[in-house]
Amino acid sequence: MKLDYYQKIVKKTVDENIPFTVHFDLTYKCNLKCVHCYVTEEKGEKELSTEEIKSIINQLAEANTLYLTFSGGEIFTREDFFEIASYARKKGFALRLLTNGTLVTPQIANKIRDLNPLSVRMSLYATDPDVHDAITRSKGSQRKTVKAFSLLKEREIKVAINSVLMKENVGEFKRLKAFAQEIDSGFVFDLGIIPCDNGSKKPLTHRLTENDLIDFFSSNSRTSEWEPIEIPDDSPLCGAGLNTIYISPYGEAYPCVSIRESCGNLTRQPLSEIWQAPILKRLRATKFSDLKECSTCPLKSYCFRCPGLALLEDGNLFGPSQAACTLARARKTTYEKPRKATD
Amino acid sequence: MSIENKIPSKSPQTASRIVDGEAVIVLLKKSRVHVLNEVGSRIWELSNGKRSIKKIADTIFKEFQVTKKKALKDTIEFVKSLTKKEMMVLK
Repeated sequence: MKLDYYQKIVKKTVDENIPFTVHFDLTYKCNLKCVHCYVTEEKGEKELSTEEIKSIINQLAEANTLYLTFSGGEIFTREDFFEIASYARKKGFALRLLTNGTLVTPQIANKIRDLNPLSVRMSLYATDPDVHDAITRSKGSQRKTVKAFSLLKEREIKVAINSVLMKENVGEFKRLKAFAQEIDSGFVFDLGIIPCDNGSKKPLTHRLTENDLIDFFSSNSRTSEWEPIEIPDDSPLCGAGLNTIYISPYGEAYPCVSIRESCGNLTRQPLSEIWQAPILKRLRATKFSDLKECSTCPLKSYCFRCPGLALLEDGNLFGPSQAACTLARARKTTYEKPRKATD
Repeated sequence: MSIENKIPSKSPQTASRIVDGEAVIVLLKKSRVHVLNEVGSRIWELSNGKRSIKKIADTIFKEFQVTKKKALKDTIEFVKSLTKKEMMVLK
């Protein structure tokens, strides 16, 4: 496969282990209480101070990170958010902001515009306020998020709807997609509900079942989208630890948001040292062919296995992930299902 | 003011890094990514809002095997092209 210049750069960041993309949760505090949320807020730990975050940002700039995602919790619950974000912009990062949008006022929207973020993704679960508010467990939250979309669009800020599809809102998919088109917004949806960061599997009760997934795929996509994909034996497991890393509001670094095996704490160790943590070395050294069960699985060309989920749910970073197996079976069934000639 | 005395700087609408000598520039509003060649990347790196085009061209002349005249001509063309693409601003 011929790679363009940019793809060659991304490949270089993977081959040379440059943390090109970083997900930084600035806080776990949130004004909503989403039913599927993986964050357990009260941990009794002190979140990073402004100066500690700036020091981490300096280290990321030195390490050549380009894409920096600020998320949480809700980022706008931090009073110093714009001080942090402006600092990061001055250091040359392309910022992606993840927010629920409910705290966005015209003044906040002006400040976001002045940051020139690459994108602002806002969580919207339904066009029906009752469905959305039942998920966020906060009356009036849907109206506020929808308002935030118009405030940001008025200021020509690139926005995207960020939606997690679950039992409660899967029927909203087409309406959300249409709404995104109507307001000229991006639309990103995720089927991945993960256990809480304390190990609780409570959020998984909202996850779509295999039959739900087959219904969803069959009614919302074309067969060609589910064509099997060959995975080369020497493929890495994913980007975690290769060219990405996750940082918690306490400064703890992990390979990604789901792989909760600490690489070290950035308030006590420099990033250069953390970037050589044993778990990261292990991830870098492991190829798809090293996964004993998965590399020989007949479903492998339908599977988008997440190592983090395999660890969280099934206890083995390098073993099968039941969630991925379910998705792969649903994809295969959808692909093989007889369709109309127009598909 | 003649063009060679003008001072180029990176547009606030961009984010960038130099990866292995190549500048990766993200045009934030357009979500477009540009990768510059070696000489272009060096010009990008030197365009910090403090150096004139002439001063940048002098560095290019010293670091790459080009004549002084060609270094200046290429630097001017390059800066103009990036300004047109809204990646740089000229003062």
